[in-house]
Amino acid sequence: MIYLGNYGDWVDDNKLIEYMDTHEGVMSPRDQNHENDVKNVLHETSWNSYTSECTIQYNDTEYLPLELPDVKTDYYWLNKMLPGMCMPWHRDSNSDTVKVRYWMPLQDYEPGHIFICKHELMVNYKKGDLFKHEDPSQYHLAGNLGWINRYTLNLVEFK
Amino acid sequence: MKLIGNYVDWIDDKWIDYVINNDGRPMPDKSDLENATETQEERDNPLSMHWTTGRPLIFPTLCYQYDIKNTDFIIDAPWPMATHSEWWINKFMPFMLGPMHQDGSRTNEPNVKYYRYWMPLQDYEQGHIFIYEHTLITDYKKGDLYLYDDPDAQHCAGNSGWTPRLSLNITAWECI
Repeated sequence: MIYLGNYGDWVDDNKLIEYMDTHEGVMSPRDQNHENDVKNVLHETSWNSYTSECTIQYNDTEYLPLELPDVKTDYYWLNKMLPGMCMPWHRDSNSDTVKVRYWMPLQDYEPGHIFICKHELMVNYKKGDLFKHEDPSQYHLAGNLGWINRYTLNLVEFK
Repeated sequence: MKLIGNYVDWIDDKWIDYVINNDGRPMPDKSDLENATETQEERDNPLSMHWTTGRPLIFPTLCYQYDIKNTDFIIDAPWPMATHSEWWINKFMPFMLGPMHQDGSRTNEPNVKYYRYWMPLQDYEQGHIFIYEHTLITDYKKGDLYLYDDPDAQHCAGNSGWTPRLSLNITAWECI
């Protein structure tokens, strides 16, 4: 993961956590209605049978337009993970169309809030730190083994 | 976490067969839950109850545990250890996750020194999680023996992978 800079003030200005805490979101992958995504991510294992509540996603771009200063992005989604939620080791289903993939925590690092990419655990980050994936199709996982909600923003630039 | 050595040749495959093929004790234990009482901290932070009472959102079992009470074997560590010890094996099926915590212990007892050991019973796999304080333990081999630098250190474990995750845990202690 390549660190690009800090956008903490931008996070505050956009009230992203407040937005998630006051809107319903979509339980992913359970309620996404993306059958192929579910098959791709949760194939062949017990994940599919009882763990479809992996993260709560928000990508209402009409209601929450986001433009990150000085960074070209085409699409975003916000994630809220309650304690105990976890997205298994996976590659995002839109990997073939993505040119650049970004990840931004919306709160300071909290023990138990995990994002693992290429066997690297992200720690000691600050709210609004922006990271670029070295490889947009890299396998990764995220989870909340902590005690408070975990909030992140994912952004992509398409090819 | 200090890597002390590798004891793969000491591991008896029948332990692994037993753990894979038998139900362990679901953790948290039902009796623990029935006897659980809310702490002030839990009342202040209702989300913490997701962990302490079993997670209502997803799956209530954090892991399966095996020890001398529910197995047909005894584990006697060959490395030099303190005078007293207890062992348990944890099995995390895919999606079982344990929160960041400190092991319950008596480490605040005066004149008692504690040692905590952790040994994976399989080579590292993607999605198998063991985090000691702020470090993800990776690239380990079956039988690697680790000693906690601090027996009270926060840690968490889970399985975000695709195969069961097995580990041996030993707490040892002695009067000093």
